[in-house]
Amino acid sequence: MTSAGKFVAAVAALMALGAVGLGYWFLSASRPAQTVPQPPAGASPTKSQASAPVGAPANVVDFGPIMAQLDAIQGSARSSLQAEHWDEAASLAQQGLKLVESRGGVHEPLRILFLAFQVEAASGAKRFPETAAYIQALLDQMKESPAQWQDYMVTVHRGRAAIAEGQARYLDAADEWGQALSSARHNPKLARKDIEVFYLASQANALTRGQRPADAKAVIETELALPEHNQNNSDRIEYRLYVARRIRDDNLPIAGWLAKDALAIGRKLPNSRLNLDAVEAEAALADIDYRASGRAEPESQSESNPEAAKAMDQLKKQAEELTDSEKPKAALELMAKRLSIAEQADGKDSVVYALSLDEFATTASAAGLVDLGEKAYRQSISIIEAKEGREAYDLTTPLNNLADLLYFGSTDRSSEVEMLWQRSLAIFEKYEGPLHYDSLVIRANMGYAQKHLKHWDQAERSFKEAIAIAQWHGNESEASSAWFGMFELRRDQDRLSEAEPFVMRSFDLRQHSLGMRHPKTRMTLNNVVWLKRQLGKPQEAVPFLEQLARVEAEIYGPDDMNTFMRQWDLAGLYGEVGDWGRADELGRDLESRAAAVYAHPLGEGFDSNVPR
Amino acid sequence: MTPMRRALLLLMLLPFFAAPCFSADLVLNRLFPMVVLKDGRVLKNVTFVASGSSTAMAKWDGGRGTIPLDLLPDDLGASPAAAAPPVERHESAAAVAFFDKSKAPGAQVLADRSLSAEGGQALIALGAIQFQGEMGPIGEGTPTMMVAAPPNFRLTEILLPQGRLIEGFGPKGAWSAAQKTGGAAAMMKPAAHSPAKRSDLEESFIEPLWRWRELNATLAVIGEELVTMQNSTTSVRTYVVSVTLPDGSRWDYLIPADDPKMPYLVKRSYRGEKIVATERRSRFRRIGDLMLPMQYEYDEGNGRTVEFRIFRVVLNPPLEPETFLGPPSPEQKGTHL
Repeated sequence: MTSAGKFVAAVAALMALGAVGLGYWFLSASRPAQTVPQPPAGASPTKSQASAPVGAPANVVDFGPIMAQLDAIQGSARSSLQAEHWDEAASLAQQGLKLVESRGGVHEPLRILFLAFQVEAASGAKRFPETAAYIQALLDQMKESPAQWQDYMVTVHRGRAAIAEGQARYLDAADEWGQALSSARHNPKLARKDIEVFYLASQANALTRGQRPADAKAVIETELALPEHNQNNSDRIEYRLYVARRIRDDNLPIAGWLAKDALAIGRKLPNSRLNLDAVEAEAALADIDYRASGRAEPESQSESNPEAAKAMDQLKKQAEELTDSEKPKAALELMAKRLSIAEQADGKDSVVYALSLDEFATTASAAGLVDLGEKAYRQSISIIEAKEGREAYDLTTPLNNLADLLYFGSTDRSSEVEMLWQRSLAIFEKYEGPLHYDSLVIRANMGYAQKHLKHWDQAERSFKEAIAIAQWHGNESEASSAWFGMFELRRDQDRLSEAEPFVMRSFDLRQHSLGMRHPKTRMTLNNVVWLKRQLGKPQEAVPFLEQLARVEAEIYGPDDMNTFMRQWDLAGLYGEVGDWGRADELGRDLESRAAAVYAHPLGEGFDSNVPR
Repeated sequence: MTPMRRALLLLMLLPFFAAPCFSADLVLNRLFPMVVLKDGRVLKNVTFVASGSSTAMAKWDGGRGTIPLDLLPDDLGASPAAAAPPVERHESAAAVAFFDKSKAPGAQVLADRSLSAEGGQALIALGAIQFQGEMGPIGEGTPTMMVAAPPNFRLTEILLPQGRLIEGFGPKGAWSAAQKTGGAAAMMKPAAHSPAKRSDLEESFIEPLWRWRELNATLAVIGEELVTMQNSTTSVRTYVVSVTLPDGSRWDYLIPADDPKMPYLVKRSYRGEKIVATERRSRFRRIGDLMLPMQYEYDEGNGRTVEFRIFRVVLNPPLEPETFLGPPSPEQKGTHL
């Protein structure tokens, strides 16, 4: 199991427990604390003392003044653990412990929490003796009331498992992982699927390493049989893939078995070709097969002689810099020179020349010379076909590039675009197997072309393939365009009531990956608002449109047309939900600003193609 | 208020989406022992006699009228073979045939009641009114402002990112103008649809229903219909009050039968016997003494419906003397806008 995967679950567990740590502060302030000295004479009552129940003992240590500091240390320590900065996490935990002790008393919950952090940090850094020492300190701290601190037994088992694995005692490790799973399952704060699956996968991996693969499979089979993972077929597929994803890096055979099982369930579903869970199972199995095959990327004949290759690399770099500086024509001149070098060094019928032509075409298209770009792409494709055949791997790049150019061109050539992408995918599949990660973007783009052609089922399949691939590879933001495509598909099919989850998912992904200011995020948010209004839920649209109006006002300024139009829309929405007070106020403001707004030339940021 | 129609007509010039048109697959002239409407009401011994794009006419034990298709149960059954020959849609005329006039209040009572509900003398005495809102489908509307004043003056401003379109009618007639964003001058030209071509009454600030006495109009209650309010699943029973002028001009107003505090909900304009326009009003809001609709839907019978959703109303706004005169000619380089 990868270290990243391991500590996601660990930190998630600690985050859940962190609430316990601080939450107990107010409780402990009202608990008898015989061993704790009196606060300094004359000290003013703290908030916590003031809020202690009537009749509570007065001899409590006042941690109030340092609670904000402790809270900050806790947060930083968690972040360090999540980032796998073990030394930093250990240092922060130590700092926290010292600060707690500096008040002259023992704050039991916080001491336990910081010790747990130490266990995590030491085991992450594979400092096993230190891990064992901190586990012992933690157990000593908990021993007076073990039931109260039962939640932290998960950390103890995790730490022990890490030590056992470090010492190659895999069966002991498997036992500890099993106990961690059991502890986590009985703790409502920790009973989260990702944490449970992490412990389950760790246990199975330890058993496999301990030469007990049959037991590993049995452990997972037992888990799969639990009723909570068998609510419906979608749950069953999802859980299998969840475990497979966790285990695939360390245990490809079990991951493959799980994916096959998931696919078998998926294939029994009606219209399984368009069922996202079933498609994800297909993607999972394809990926596992690809990993198991150990296939390498096919060789290209694009290596030029070293001297020419060096000169070409240099020219390409310079051209890219010019393109970045918005000097596309100058960049094109350099790419033309580069092409001449390729021609002289390798000949006009070489793959080197063809791929240089492809890059020349991309630069030409970026410079607005679309016809020249198209011609160059086609010539590039012809040369490669003649040299390497119609199924050559080198064809994928110019085929995709030509499809992109035609797709975003001013003339509708969706049919040819779809064919080019299909051909490119077929070549990909020949070399890299089906549903390969690299084909994700092509599939999403092809979905749009198919949607445009009203090939509804094909479009849905393409979008879902892209989504499924992204989900399986744990990089969902790559599929935000496909989620949005699914929304547009349902909209175009006049199935608006089914469109909402797709546009919401796309917005979530874009908001997190691109940020709110990105035009794609704002366009998606605008569609969220539009859809909610169309579905007769204007009240739900209000916070989204307010957010959009706020962001656009920040971007464009108060007297810009974008801001003005969006706020007018917002005033309309306030009216739609009957919030006349806000509608009146905003309407008055807009009326007074209209003259100023129209006096400005239309800003460059205004995109009339984006629906308001 | 009639000037609203001008604004809606102006919007017809813009490429808005057509209103969806639903077809009705009802079995006509067959007795259904019981029909449970989606709003929970139960009708017994129902016979559908005609169906339109959005309503079906039916009779049942104890009543008859039009029922919105949306309210009909999904499993009512459709049988193209059993369908009667197409019936020309003429809801009010058909409703007259089944209407028991003796049970309805007098038409004049209903007309006065509607005026009173909308504001009575406060409405008649209004010096001017300004609306701010959006034209077009929900979520895709175009910002619009409108000012109207007696006798029939108006100013409609449609705000587009690229510029403003303004159309007005004032003491010197109709005009229209446009200002490109970032440009100072407004281009003035004759209005594409001169209000002078329409009857004065139709463009008047005051509805014929409100001034029927002054106009010597003939009023009659000619039927009852169910009207489904915007954003509501329930229907309102209305009386259809016909207002006919001595010159034959005619309008029908659908006035709620059971709620005297509500003004008319639908207005139909006729050319001869043909309905040429239908205006639906909904989302009423009380502003001072007035009860004003915040949403208009205008249907000129060509399959397209334009909506105007209002979010701000100003009563008696301060107006400059030249408000309805239009912008200066291009030569003068003025900036009325």
